[in-house]
Order: sequence, then structure tokens, then C-alpha cells
Amino acid sequence: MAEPILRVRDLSTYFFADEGVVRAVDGASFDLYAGRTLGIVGESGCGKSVTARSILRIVERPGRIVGGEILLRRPSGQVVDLVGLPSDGQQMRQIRGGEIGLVFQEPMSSLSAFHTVGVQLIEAIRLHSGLSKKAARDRAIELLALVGIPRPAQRVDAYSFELSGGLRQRVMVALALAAEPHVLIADEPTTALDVTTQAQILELIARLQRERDLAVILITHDMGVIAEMADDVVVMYLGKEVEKGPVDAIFHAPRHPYTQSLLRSIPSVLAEPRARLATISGSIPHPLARPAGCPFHPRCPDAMPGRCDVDTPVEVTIGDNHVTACHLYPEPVA
Amino acid sequence: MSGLAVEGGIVEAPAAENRVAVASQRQLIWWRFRKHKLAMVSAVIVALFYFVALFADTLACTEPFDTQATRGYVPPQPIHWFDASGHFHPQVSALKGKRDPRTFKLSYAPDASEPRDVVLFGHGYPYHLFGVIPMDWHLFAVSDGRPQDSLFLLGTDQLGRDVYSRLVIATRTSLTIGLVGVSLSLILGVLLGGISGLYGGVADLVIQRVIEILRSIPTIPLWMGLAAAVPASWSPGRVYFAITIIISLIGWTELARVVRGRFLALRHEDFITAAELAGASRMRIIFRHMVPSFLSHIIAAVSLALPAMIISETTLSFLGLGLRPPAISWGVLLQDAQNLQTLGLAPWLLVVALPVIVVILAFNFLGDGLRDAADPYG
Amino acid sequence: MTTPVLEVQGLRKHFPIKQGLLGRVAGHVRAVDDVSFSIAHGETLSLVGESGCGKTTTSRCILRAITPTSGRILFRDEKGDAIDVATLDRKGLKPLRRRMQMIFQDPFSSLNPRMTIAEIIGEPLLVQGMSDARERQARVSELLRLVQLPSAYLNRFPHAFSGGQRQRIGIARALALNPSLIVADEPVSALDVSVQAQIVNLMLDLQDQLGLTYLFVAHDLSVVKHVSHRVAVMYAGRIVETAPTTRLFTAPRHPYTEALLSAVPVPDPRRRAQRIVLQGDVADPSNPPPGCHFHPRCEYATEQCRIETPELTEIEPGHEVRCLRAAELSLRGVASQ
Repeated sequence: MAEPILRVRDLSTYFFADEGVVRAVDGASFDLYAGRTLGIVGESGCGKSVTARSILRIVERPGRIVGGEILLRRPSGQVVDLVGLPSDGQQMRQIRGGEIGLVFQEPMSSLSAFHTVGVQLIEAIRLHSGLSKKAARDRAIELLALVGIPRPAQRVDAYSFELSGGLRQRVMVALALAAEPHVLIADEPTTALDVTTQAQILELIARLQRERDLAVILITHDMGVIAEMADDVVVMYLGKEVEKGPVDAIFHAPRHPYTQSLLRSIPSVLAEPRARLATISGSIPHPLARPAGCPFHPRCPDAMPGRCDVDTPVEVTIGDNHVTACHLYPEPVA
Repeated sequence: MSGLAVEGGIVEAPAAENRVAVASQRQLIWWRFRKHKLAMVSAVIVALFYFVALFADTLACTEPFDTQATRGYVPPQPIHWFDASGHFHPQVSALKGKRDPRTFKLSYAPDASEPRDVVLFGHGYPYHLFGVIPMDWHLFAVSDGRPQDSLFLLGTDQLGRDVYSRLVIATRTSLTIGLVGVSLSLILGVLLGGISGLYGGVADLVIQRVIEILRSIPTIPLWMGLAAAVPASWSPGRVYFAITIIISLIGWTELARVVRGRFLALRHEDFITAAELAGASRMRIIFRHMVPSFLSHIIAAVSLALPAMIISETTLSFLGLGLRPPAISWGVLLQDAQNLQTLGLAPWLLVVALPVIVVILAFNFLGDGLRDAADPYG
Repeated sequence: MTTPVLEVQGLRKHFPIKQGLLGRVAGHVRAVDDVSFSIAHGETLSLVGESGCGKTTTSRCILRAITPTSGRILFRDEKGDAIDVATLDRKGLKPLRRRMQMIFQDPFSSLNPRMTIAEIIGEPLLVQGMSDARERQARVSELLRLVQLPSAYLNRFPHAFSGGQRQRIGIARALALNPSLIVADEPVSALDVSVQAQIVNLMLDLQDQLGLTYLFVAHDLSVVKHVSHRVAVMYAGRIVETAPTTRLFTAPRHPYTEALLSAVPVPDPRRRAQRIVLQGDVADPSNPPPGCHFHPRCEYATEQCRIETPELTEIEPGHEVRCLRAAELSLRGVASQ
């Protein structure tokens, strides 16, 4: 396979709060390739959003990246470590929006209510290119058409509150793509939308990926969306990667007990009516009260006392590109 | 949301968690407030000021109404803390005045040959503590019982009255006018704001328009008009109350808007709906659910309204429209410092501005801190 | 079918749109536009739809949190007598409050942050006349046991609890008066997946244990599959299809239901089937399309659909559809395991 466009190695981002240190991301590593979608999935507090914000260097205080590398291959071919760049420096500002685009969850609060959609698009376009206002406006209309907004030449002068949720999210996608990035990070892009609108947005992202060979990181808590969209999956729990691999392996041959439990506990339209859901015993621990050893061990049906509560498991290859961090798999499987 | 709780996390959480778990909203607000250093300091300052207001006469040393033309425009006289032999022996010197034969300008020089001992809890002019208990001792006084001859910590004004003592008495007047004014505004504000927010409809429309009209009238001309309507023949006491009512008539609008806003927001909260669905009566919902919810906001709004009241009175009196001599308040004292001539002769008269600035700032920081603690999400 | 606990007939709720300085009524938002259904004792009926379809407004009308514009809401007691809740005044409603309760969507705003758990759960009891504090305490402890929360939590405040725990508290409060009907308004949408599973199981268990009747309002069809006996699909203020759960999911008869089902992402990468992706936006309830509200987005629509408004008709026992072409269309559901 070609070289990855983004490599994250051992990324750690901690939050230094009054009450203690929260290890929001604790050693995340993954590769992202052009034309492929990486899904990062997990529940609250797993660190998936913080990972995205770390890549874009927009982690808010009191959080900061404490270790690891984020290696981005720039269009020139040069590979730069984003962790080493100053977060508000010129290079990072070029990359942010220019080479890596971001789509947020809440289109209402991510779009300015005081400016038309066109003005915001034109600003994004001109920040990353030298286009004149007229040329940028034409480009903005093109982008709106690209994301499937009907009557783009009129809609470019609309305000965000005049648009429906689905259209607003399309505008967000257009904004993210304004500067022709190679990487698109979508952080829960459809969580706030109706299911039919969600289908439209996911289809849009998939189409744009095909057309532009985009590398997409899709962050969500919805396993159904992951199954639909992702090629590769990273499962996170309390800041740690517990399992990662191709989507088929994750869904049909999950190895980590958390992945298995999670898959069993999701409701599905294919289930029997009124079937009980399998639950994971216990609950997500307080981020300041991390269990020792493997973070999942207090809830794990296969926990081994003396081992799982003492040592943190390391990542081990158990299949083709399929890796897990679990004491049940101490040795790599060929 | 505290962000500290997670599913089932109570049992596994650190010990600090449990304290937070059983903490009532009031305690949480207090803990949040405590973190706001500036607000804490301001709270202490405000408390100190009200302490002064409470014990004004005790803290003063010279009869505030005692005029002595011969002591006019005496500059501030410091206390000498150590005597000639180096012992701690606070003293002031009596003053001897001398008139320059050519300019006729009176100048005072401390006469070191006549030191007076400064004592703690000495005797001075008689007064009634809290208006009830007859006393005559003050925090500090002069051993011979005549502080009007020697104790001029902040100098004297044109009529020879001790500025320091008058300042302390003025603090009491200005701060209590603020309190009374705010109480009136509170009652009006909560009542009208509550009706507006709870019932909506025509009542809301009318009340809101009245508020807007009141707020759009320029305040100073409005005050001037109202103050001019106060008969000159009234005693200072009656004038005091009239002024209080005037300034609270404007102040209630801000509180009413805050209260209305809170009621409107609360009406649609799920827990209010839950109470309605349980069959709770209107009264119960208002007093058990809604009022406790916005009490902290009211307190914050009040602590921000108080400085406005104080400034109002100070301004009115400064302009000669509010309290007038012989009443003493900061505004009245500042009147003496109105013209450049006076300031040239006796710049220490301006010291009155200092407590005004300090207390207004302190109230503002306190109010901000309270508001942030009560509702960190605005 | 046993005597229904709740029968809704022709429910309508129109919100006036006020414009101008004097608030002239310029039009109406027809949030609920002729909704009829019934729920039998011990049954769960799910009301499903997307934003603006009117399901939340319907649920609030039934509970009389808001007053319906017209229609009947017949509530049957143990003797079988029906009371029309729609027209009762405040005084008449109070005794009925015992019979229907609500579980709210947002676990953070549904509990008064200034009251302890004991006070929150005990409030319905207090308001309805249980003045003996010890009796209330006993009942509250029993309710906490039912929802699997330790009784040590009685004196804690809501901010100490997680989303899932707060939902349990909300459920305990809803059960306090032994209601005949519980309306659950998106009770698990705001929860994490693993917590969602716990709450869904809890609601199912309580239904079996106590013979509860649920009106389950939701937009998540996967959860709906797990909890319902019957499902009613709403679009733009109207019910477009009602059927038993399995039938609705495997053999829908309304094009909107078909699109809705195909849009739900299935957690299985091997099932990336061709989806029907609806064009356009959800119909605006203040200005809905003429005739069938769904026709502009429907791939099976004909000229007739723009002119004639379809009625809700029973095409099979227990299966009602609001579509002019229901009899001739052959639609795709989800394939079962």
C-alpha cells in the first residue's frame, strides 16, 4: 500500500485539572491512508474527540499534548511532526483547514449566525488561496453545489439559521473542503441529525472521498455508522486503544473483551422484538480513578486477577493489520 | 454539569467525590465562589465597610457636627507613633495657629511642646450605639478628651469639622441608603418580574413597555425633576426616604428583567414539567422549584444593583439635589470639594472619593463572583 | 385485544404563528394533525419519527402538559370507564395525574438540582396526599430498589450522578404513583451505548414485573425494535403507518417507513446494502405539501398523491397505512437475522 498520509505514534494528551491529571489520550497510534476511512469509536471519555483535536492542535487548556508524534505528509512530500509545531504558528494555521479539514458535530454552533454562509466560505477559501473576492465567491457556489445544496447561487447568501440541519451540515462539509484538504476529520458529524439526513450526509462524505481520494477520520459512538463507512477501525476505552483493525475483522472477529461486549450490547433493527440487550457489567470509571493495569479489567468478563489489575497490556498483532492490547493475547498470532 | 460523575462512579471514585455528592447546591456555589480570589477579597472589603457603617460612631472620634471656624482647612495631621525616647507612645501635637501678617493666610504648625496622648477606647462625644445604647467611648481618642483640638487624621473642612469622623459617619449613611433602596427595588422587581415571566400575555407586555420607557429616560434629568419635587421644608430624615424611593424606582427595572428571564427559562425546564405532571399546585411550583433556582441570581443581581444605588445617592447629593447639609453622606462631603479654589486650599477633602471608588469596585467584583458561582454557564 | 388503556382519537394541536407588532395570527403550525391510536394494557407502543413529526407534542398532549386543540384522549380506569383527558380542567386533572407519568429525555434537566433524590422521587407522593414522611421514605426506598440504585443515595443531589443513574431516578419517580400509563420521551437517546442497554433492559424488566404500559417516543429505530410490541410511524404531524413490530420492520407498507428503515445504519459491514437516500428536507409543519405530506420526497408518488389526502386505513388486521398506493406497492424492509 502507498505511504500513509498521516501517522500518529503514541499520542498522549493529558488534562491538568485542579482535581488531578486526566489522561484523556494515553498512547494512541494509527495510520491513515488516502482514499480510506479510519473510524475511531468509543463511549464517553474514551478520548476520541481529544485525539481529533490533538491532531489539529486545538486542544483547550488545561489540556496539552505530552508525548508522541503526529506525522503529516505534506503535498510537497515533506513529512512534518505536528506535535513539534507551535499551535498558533503559521505552518499549523496553513495545515488547519488547508490540508486537514474538520467537520464538527453541531452545525448550528459551528457556523456564525451573523454572517452568511457565503461570507464564511469565502473567508475560508481566501485564507488558504490567493483568489480574489469574485473568484472566491464563484468557488463558494461551486462548493455548495458539490455538497448537494440545491440552488447554490441563491443559498450562498443565506444565513445559517435559514437552513435546515441537514443543509447546515452540508455547509460544514463544504467549509471543511474549501481549501482542498487531503484529510477530512469528521467528529460525530451526524449525531445531531435525523436518520434520513444522516444517510444523506454519510453518502455525501463517501462520494467526496471517492471523487477526491480523501483520507477520512470518522469519529463516532455509533457502531452502525462505523460498519457503514469505515475501512479500518480503532476502538478506544478511557484514552487507550484497545483494538484496531480492518472493519470486517473488528465486527466479525473481535478479540478484545470490550469490543466484544460493546458489539453485543448495541441495539439493532435485525434483533428479535423485545429482546434483552447484553450489558457490560459495572460502568465507565471516573477519569480520575483509573483502574490500575488494564483500564477495562473491573468490567471484563475474562479478567485474570494478578495480571490484568497489575500490568498494562501492550499492543500485539493478532491478525492481518489486526492489533489488540489484552493480556489474553500476550503473544502475536501469526 | 459537574463533569465529575460517571456511571456508577460514586463507589469507585476518590474520597473527595463523596463530599461533593451530598453537597447541596448552596454549598457547591460557595465552593465555586471561594475559588474566585478577587471576589473573596471584595467580599471581605464589603464586609469591612458595613462593619464601619454599623459602628460608625465608635470609629469616629470628633463630633461630626462640631464646627470650629478657627480650625478651618487644617491639613491632615499624622500620629507620631514613637516618642523622643523611642518607646511606642502614640501622640499628636496640639496645633497653634499663626496668621501671616502680610497675606493674612492662616497656617498651623504642630506645637511639639504640647503633645497629647492618643489612647485606644478613650472617651469622646456621646452617642447611641445602634441608635439604642448610650455610649461615649470611641475606638481611639485623645487623653484630654478634646480631640477637636489635636486629632485631625484627615484634616478639617472649611468649618473646622474633622474630615475623618465625617467620612466615617457618611459611610454609614451612604451604605444604608443603598440597602434600603435595593430592598425596595427587590420587592418591586421580583413582584413585577415574576408576574411578567409567569403569566406572560398582556401583563408581560405592559410591564415590559413600562420598563423600557423608564430605562430610556435619561437618569440625571429624571432625578433632578423628582428631587426638585421634594419640598425643601422636609427634614433631612424625610428627604432621606424620599431620595431612597426615587433611586429605587429606577433600579427595580434591572432586577425585574433578571427575574422575568429566569422564570421564562425555568418554565420550560423538564423538572418543572415533571412537578406539574405529578399534580403540584402553582404555588408549590413557584416557591419550591422556581424561586430556589434563581435565588442565587437575585443575590448576584442585588450585589450589582447596590453600587448603582450608592452612586445614585452620591451623585444626587453631589449635585445638591439629594441629601443636603446638615445630613452627612459621601455625596454631601464631596460637595465641599466641588470647586478648584477649595481644592487648591484643601486637597485632602478629595479623600472622600476613595472609599466610594473602593466600595463600588468591591461590590462589582463581588457581584461578578457571585454571578459566576451561581451560574457558571451564564 | 384487551380493553385499551389509552385511546387517542383525532388529536390535533395547532400552534398559532404570530406576526407583527400586535401579534396577529398569520398561520398555524400543525404540529399534530389528526392522530389516532390505542394502547392495550401491558403493551408498548412506540411513536417513531424524525424532528418536527409531532411525536413529542403528541406525548405532551396526552399527558396534558399542553392543551390539545381538538380531539379525544380517552383514558380507561380499572372498571373500564373512559375519561376524556383532553377537556378536563386543572382540578379534574389532578386525580388523573396518578395514572399517567413521564420519563424525560434529558437526564440533566429532568431532576431539580436543588432537591435530594429522596425529595425528587417523593414529590409525586407528597403532592398526591401521602403526608406521612416515614411512609414516603419507605416507598422511595422500595422504588430505588426497583431501579437498582443503592438506598444510600437517598440524600445525595442529582449532580453526583451520571446520566444513566439519573435516568433510573427519573424512572423511579415515574413509578412512584403506580401509573397505568408511562410515556417515555426518548429515554435513552442521551445515554452511552452500554448505559442505554442497561436502561432498556430495566424498562423491559419493570414492564414484566409490574405490568406497565408504555408509550415510547423515539427516533432510534434500533432501540424501538427492542422495546416495542407495536410501532406507529409519524411524519409531519400525521401517523403514516401502524403495525406490530416485526411486521413493520420486515414488511413496511408506507414508502416513508421503507426509507426510514433503509437509512438506519446496520452494525455489520457485510450488509452495506443499497440504501434509499431521501432527497430534500423533512416537511415543514407550518406549510406542509398539499395532499399527501410525503409526496415531494416519495419515489412512488403519482399525480394523485399531490391532490388527494390519504386516510389511515387498515390493510391487514392490526396494520394501518396512510398511502393511496399501499395496496399495489411492494416495499423492502430489513431482513431478519
